[in-house]
Amino acid sequence: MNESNTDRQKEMFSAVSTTIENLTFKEVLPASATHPSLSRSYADLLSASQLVIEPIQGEFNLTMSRNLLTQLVISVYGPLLAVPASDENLHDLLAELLNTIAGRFLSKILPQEKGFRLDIPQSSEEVSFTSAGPQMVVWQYSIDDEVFSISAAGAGLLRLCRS
Amino acid sequence: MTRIAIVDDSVTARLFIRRCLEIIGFSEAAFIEAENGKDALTKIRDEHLDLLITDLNMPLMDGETLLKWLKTSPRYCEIPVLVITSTHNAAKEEELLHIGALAVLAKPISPATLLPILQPLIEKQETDHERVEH
Repeated sequence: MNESNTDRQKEMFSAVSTTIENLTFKEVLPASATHPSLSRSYADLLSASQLVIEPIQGEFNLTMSRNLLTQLVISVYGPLLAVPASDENLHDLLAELLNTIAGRFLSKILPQEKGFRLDIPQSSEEVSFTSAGPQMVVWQYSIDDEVFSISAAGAGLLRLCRS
Repeated sequence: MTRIAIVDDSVTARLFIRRCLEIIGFSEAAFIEAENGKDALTKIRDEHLDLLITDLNMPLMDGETLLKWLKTSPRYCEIPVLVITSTHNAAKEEELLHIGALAVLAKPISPATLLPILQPLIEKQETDHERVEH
């Protein structure tokens, strides 16, 4: 089964929407796996990845278009932003979004009696959205009809996402 | 003047925390920003601080190490330390409170979540301000 179960879908949506809406004041909506923009190969996607270290091992990845990230940076920084938004601004926001989303999601699905640890997010350039498969769960969402995705990989993390 | 240190490796996070602090009543405070625990210790040296806010997951020196260092230092042990982290859960919160954190909050914070925790400091700021005026 490639998909996460319904409860995990709700928990991930809660983590994503709470994080993005609090930080950027933009509304997040679930996106269909057949959303037209997902089939396009973006020339300019940005991606951040973050390892889960304890008590399970896995990896989260957040992918957004440069255009969407730029809009979110403008929302966050407002008049403080030097025009145009720098790559550093974009990567920093993407990493912070992923860090917060991953933490909120894991705090819901892991036992409360033991702490969990995340590595520091890393940035990368990505050329297309990742597809779900046996080794990966993918959730898609949209902001202002622009799609982004978050994925989970790694045996331990996948077991939790599908349980 | 109220002095607050904000320690987080993310510029976005530091900006957001500062904005929340300004909204709840610290618009006139002096802010010191640091990228990690080691950077914070350098920047707060010889500074009087009313509050230090730290993330946990940072390179070079993480927030838990910074908290332990501050709470065992005769010079800095009285500084209230608020932890704001993405890896928040009940177990971690208990552990950090035991070390001496003022409170532990999950990211993303909001002015509403900050206000009850920092209300005493806001009131102290107002009292100090009135004392100066008179």
